[in-house]
Amino acid sequence: MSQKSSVALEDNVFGVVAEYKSPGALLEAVKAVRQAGFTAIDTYTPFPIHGMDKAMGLRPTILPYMVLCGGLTGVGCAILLQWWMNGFDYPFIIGGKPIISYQAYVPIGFELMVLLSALTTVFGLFALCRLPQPYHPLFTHERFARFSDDGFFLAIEAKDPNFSEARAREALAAAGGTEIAVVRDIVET
Amino acid sequence: MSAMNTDLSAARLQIPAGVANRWSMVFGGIGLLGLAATVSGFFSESTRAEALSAYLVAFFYVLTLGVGAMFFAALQHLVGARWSVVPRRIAENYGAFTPWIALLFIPIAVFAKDILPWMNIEGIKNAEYKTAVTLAMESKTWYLTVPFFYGRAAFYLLFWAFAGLFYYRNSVAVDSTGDAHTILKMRKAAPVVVILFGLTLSFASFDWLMGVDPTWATTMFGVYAFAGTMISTLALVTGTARTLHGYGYMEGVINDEHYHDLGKLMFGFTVFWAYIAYSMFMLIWYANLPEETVWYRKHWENGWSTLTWALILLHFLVPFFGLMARNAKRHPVILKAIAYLIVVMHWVDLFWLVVPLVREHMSFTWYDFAAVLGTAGLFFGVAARTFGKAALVPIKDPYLADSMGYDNG
Repeated sequence: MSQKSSVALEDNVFGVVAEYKSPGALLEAVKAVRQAGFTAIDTYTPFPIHGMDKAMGLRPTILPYMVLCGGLTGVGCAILLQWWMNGFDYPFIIGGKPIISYQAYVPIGFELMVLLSALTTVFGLFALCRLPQPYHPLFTHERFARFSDDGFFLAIEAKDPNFSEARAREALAAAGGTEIAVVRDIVET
Repeated sequence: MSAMNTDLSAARLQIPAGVANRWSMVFGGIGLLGLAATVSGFFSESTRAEALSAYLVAFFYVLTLGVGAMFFAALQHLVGARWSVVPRRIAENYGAFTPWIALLFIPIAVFAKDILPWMNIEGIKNAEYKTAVTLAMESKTWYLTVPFFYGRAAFYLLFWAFAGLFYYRNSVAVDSTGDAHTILKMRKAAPVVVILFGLTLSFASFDWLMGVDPTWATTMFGVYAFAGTMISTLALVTGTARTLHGYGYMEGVINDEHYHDLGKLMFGFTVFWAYIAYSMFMLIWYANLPEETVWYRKHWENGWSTLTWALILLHFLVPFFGLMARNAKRHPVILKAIAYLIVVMHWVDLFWLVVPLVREHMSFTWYDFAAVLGTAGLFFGVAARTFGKAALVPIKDPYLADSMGYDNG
């Protein structure tokens, strides 16, 4: 580590960021910036904003389908587990019932379904959001810490095909943005 | 919500009286024919048992739909819901059926001793020798007396009639006055109505359904009746909204967000119904006490297992997987099909509760269909008239704009 140093290079631009006064202003700004032709945009806010998914044009998440697979795996495993263990591995009469009593499989099936669905939800969410993310280029922006307090940020990223510093600045300003700044990523050398 | 267009002048919110009355005649005509056919069966010894069990199921079916609709309206006021203002009038219209339940109860009241066996068992306490029946009945003799039975019934029927009309009339009154105090009045009554609804529906299910086998009892029965009532009411409101919308009514007022939410509630209560059904079954199956398991045995042997599996499949699995996806809940055809499937399956559910106790082999008789066409025909006949009398949404409800602009995100 001691051999490495971090420097900001002039040409390593991550994007242009602006601040907006309120969730409503941010929502309108997102619509305006997309109208201006930018696609690689992201917002940073202290809390989820109603309608922002639609305004940003985010694709519906595949998480529900992952959770469905998790849940079905849970039910399937629970049934196989009980069927094989009580029916074949260690047959044992309980309460005078037949050895394979499917009526009793429901509670375990329900529990394992809930467990695997919940675990899939949590870890699927982490995977899809690429969390944990200990570093993000915007962390180099001095005012960015306020995104978890009262700041509503909108960034246009340099990977946008329409991107140029001037155009991005102009679009963010036209949408009512203040404190517009160019953010440069840190590169390890 | 943000600035929302609440201009209702372009929306079709009023069913013309001619259209409403025509549908009322069609449904009402089917209903009267069905009722006449069923009632004719009461007067012959050989058909009385069949016709009465068919009528009891059909009576309880429309009872749960009417009372459930009244409860849905009261519940929205109880929690101060804003999203549901648009579909609420549909429930209020169906809730206005509740006075008719008292009329439909008359045959039950007259022929009670032919369907409720405990009315024929005299002097259980003073019996010379004890049988399984007298033993099982002993602790219930204070509850199962004829005057108390009719007194309770009168209370349920009066309360439902009052509450159903209360929510319907006050809501319609706001359409012309726009007086928010009326909304407040409905909100203040809601906690009492909801508590009494829970008690009256539970005890009515004990008295009129569970009483068909008075030796058997489960405390889950009332919850089971409630679960069926709730899911079928939600399905009825959703299906009706989709149907009216399909005919061009409420366009621009009701939207996918309302259907999505109704679909979510239907999905949730489908699971709730299955959960309660299994809870009721599992403890009895596990404990394996003969006097309790005999009830499920009657629902399993002689072909009845087919109906039980049909119930599990069509009342739970199909709606469960059918309503799971977001797109299904917002899809006009899928949502409507599942809603009406549930409305029909609720009748099968009540049939399943009662008929295996009085009929040895699994079978449907033409009385079963005549009775349900009779009561349901009357129910929809009365409802069609009610739907034509006022706007299809509470047009001056202060929260209507919120409901119209509601977004699931």
